[in-house]
Amino acid sequence: MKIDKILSGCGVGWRPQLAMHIERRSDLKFIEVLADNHFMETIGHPAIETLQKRGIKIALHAVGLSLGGSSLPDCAYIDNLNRLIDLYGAVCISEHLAFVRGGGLESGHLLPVKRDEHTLKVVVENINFASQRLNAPLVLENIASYLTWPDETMDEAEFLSRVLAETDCRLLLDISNLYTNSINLGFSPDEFLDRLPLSKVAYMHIAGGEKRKGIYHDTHAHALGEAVLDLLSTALSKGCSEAVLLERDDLFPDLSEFNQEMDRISRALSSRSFANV
Amino acid sequence: MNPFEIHGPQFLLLYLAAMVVFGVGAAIVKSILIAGAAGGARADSKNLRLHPYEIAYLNGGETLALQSAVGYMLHRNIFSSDDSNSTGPRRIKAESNPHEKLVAINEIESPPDNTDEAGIQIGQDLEFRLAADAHGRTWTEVLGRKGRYKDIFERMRVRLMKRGLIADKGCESLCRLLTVGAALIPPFLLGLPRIVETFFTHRPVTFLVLLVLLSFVHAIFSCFQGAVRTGAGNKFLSDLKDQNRGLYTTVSSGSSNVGANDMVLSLAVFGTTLIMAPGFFMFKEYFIPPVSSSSSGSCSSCGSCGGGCGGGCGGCGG
Repeated sequence: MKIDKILSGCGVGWRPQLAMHIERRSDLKFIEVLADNHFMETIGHPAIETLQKRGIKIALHAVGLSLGGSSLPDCAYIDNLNRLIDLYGAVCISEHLAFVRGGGLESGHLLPVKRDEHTLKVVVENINFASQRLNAPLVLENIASYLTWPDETMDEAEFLSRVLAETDCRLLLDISNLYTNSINLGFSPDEFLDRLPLSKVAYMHIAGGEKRKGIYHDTHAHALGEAVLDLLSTALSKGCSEAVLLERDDLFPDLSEFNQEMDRISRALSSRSFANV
Repeated sequence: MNPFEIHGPQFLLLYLAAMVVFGVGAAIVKSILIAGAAGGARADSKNLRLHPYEIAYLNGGETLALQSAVGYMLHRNIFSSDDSNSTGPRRIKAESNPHEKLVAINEIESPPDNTDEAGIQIGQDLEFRLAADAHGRTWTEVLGRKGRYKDIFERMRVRLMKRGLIADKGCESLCRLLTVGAALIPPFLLGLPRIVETFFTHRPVTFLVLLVLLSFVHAIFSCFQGAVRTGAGNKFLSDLKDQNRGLYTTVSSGSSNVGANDMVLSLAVFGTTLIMAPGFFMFKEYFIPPVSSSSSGSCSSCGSCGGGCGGGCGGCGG
């Protein structure tokens, strides 16, 4: 079954600090579990298993595959991901189109790849290596980057489209990352969306951020901004997947603020569904 | 065969076997009694509409109900834990006018979810009584004055009994008698006669004396056993635990984004073990006094670091 048929509706990135909020949200269709935070688990987390019993789907999210790295992804890391995929019955595993290590050093940060033919070849090889070994479909996420490499021959939209064309992967379109890049690097997010194969979008991320000293930061620690929500509506109106996931990683909201955020996403999804009738 | 002809480890084994047999026998009879007393009542956890203090009473008796109420007042800053004495037990420092603050909170904020009017009234009565009584007292002193809240606990007990979650008073007394009896039969039947016998034979009976003491301690604790939960009561609690795994996780993570009602619900459902979780650091100081001022500081830092482990991709473009 295709992922875009499996995931739909509202989702949330599961964090311990939000477990209560997530548990009480009756319209939730899926959650995303951050794999790197659960590698030590040998049995499923009770709070996540309770959600599973309610029929809520689980997607895994990873940050350490380093698909944009110069070396092949680490097999031990893939084994760990497979263990969690089996443990939670994950419907897919998502990872960023970025690199996090090189020359034996860990960056501790998702770094953008240089967008040219050579890197494309390396990235495609890495993705195929990982996806052949993973027990669930691999989904690729666009990152927020505050820089571009010199002498690039492609922009992000072209690079993403080429990667999707040359692999079997689908796209996790992070609306907030797209918005962040459009503000900081100066391009039209609308045009960007028009150039992507939107039928390949498995699901979308959305998160809050804030502008500091002229730079927009994708903090995952603030409420959703109107501009980001508008971009979500635009993406939905252009035919993106109707599966949207809220990410929050800091300054965790109380229950009522969390519900307001989820309601806003839910409304955006409803208006899209209404428009399709 | 005369059991008093057996000596040494074999006699100890016989004594242990007697403890187990009478203990299990009493448990079986109790469960039959409770099943009969409950009259087949079924507890649908969604429709019972109990206050968190009532759930605490069901889970841990009067002590947990009182602890939940004090916890609520601490979370609401109606009470604070007086830290002027850094090594001894902490005392409650109440607001200058705690009743006024309670009234203001009750007027502005919603009562606990899924609680009926009578439950809300019981909760408020307990809070107002505490507000009048707890200032300047340590947790042990508040517990020692449980009798002052007897009428409120009785209202809780009656409501829980009507819902088939706890056994009635007659059944409760019978169960208590059974437990105490089962605990006392082995010492009176075997242990004490053998100990008396050794006054003449001078055989060593240290382990037997310890086992007899254990039986007496068990009997004494059973005398103070609180309400007896029915099968429906156990199922209701077990369902609540399943339904609130996320609440437990969030509270345990030390996150500060949990409201007072949910904090108290977590204490009521999961019991006092949660007091040790980072999210309860302000309660812990009162209920479990720090050994020294330095250990209290380190606990607070644990509380703050629990909140920062949500995810690694927040500010890095994830």
